[in-house]
Amino acid sequence: MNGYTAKQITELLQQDEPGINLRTVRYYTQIGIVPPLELAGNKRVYTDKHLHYFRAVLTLSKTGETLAAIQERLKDLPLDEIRRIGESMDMYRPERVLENETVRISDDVYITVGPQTPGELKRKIIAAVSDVMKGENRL
Amino acid sequence: MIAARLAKQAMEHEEGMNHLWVRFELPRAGSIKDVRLTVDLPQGVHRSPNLNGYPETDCGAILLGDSPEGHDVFLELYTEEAAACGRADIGIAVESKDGETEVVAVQSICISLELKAEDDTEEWPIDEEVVERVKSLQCRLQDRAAEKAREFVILPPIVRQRSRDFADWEKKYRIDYSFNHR
Repeated sequence: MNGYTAKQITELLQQDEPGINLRTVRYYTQIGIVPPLELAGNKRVYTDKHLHYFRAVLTLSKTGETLAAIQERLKDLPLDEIRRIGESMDMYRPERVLENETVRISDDVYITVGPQTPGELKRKIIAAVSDVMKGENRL
Repeated sequence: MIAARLAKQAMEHEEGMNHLWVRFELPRAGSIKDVRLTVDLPQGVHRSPNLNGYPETDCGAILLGDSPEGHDVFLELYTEEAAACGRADIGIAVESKDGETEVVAVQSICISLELKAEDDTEEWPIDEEVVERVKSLQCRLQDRAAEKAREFVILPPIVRQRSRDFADWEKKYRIDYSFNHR
């Protein structure tokens, strides 16, 4: 089990979200936005689980949800789901939202393409995925 | 009557965060205008602009308009560098003006906040009702203090006095000089 201090976990989170700071990490722990800290000897420490929770909270906060709503949404999710939500944080950076193009293939499938992808390749990707969705696997 | 509650009765004297909930009602008799709230914080404790989005003056008075209705105002408090530990007072005052007589009425209270060092082994008791209210406000994890510092700063224009005569180097390099004064 990796054990982190509040300062260490803040530094890890700042790599993804520079806006977060030590006092926010401490406060969100105190008011129960993330699970209670774990005991390592006589000290309470953050673990990777807390890292995943913080990343998920940061991601959902970018969608405009209130903290109460975020807490409710995360309440019954397994840790793998929490981790998956946190891993999508990068998609919600303003520069990504501005530059990326998201194409809806179906109700359940979306493709997001960045600005570095040439137009022709983008069309091929969209066509290929659309074909797969239609059952004509050309990949 | 003013009521004020803190999310935490004690907060870290360094890199700590807390919330203050101020609730008050004004007498409904007569017309009331220019309602404003001021919060006087201990040395080393700062606050972000109010979370309700009310306008504020440069001095930090929160302008609540002319409504005699009850008001709920939420403030995020924080410490940055180490402030002095111990008990300190937060002064809260509500001013309102009588619309007819222009007489200003002031109500004020004081609540106590303890500043102390962070301790990994210690729990920080919280006021659940304040915390639930805070959680239902729009979530913004960014550092509001840093955000405020990034706001535009309006610099006054610099006006230099000069005479009408051109210096020699101006005559030499000024584009229109040779055409007008040749």
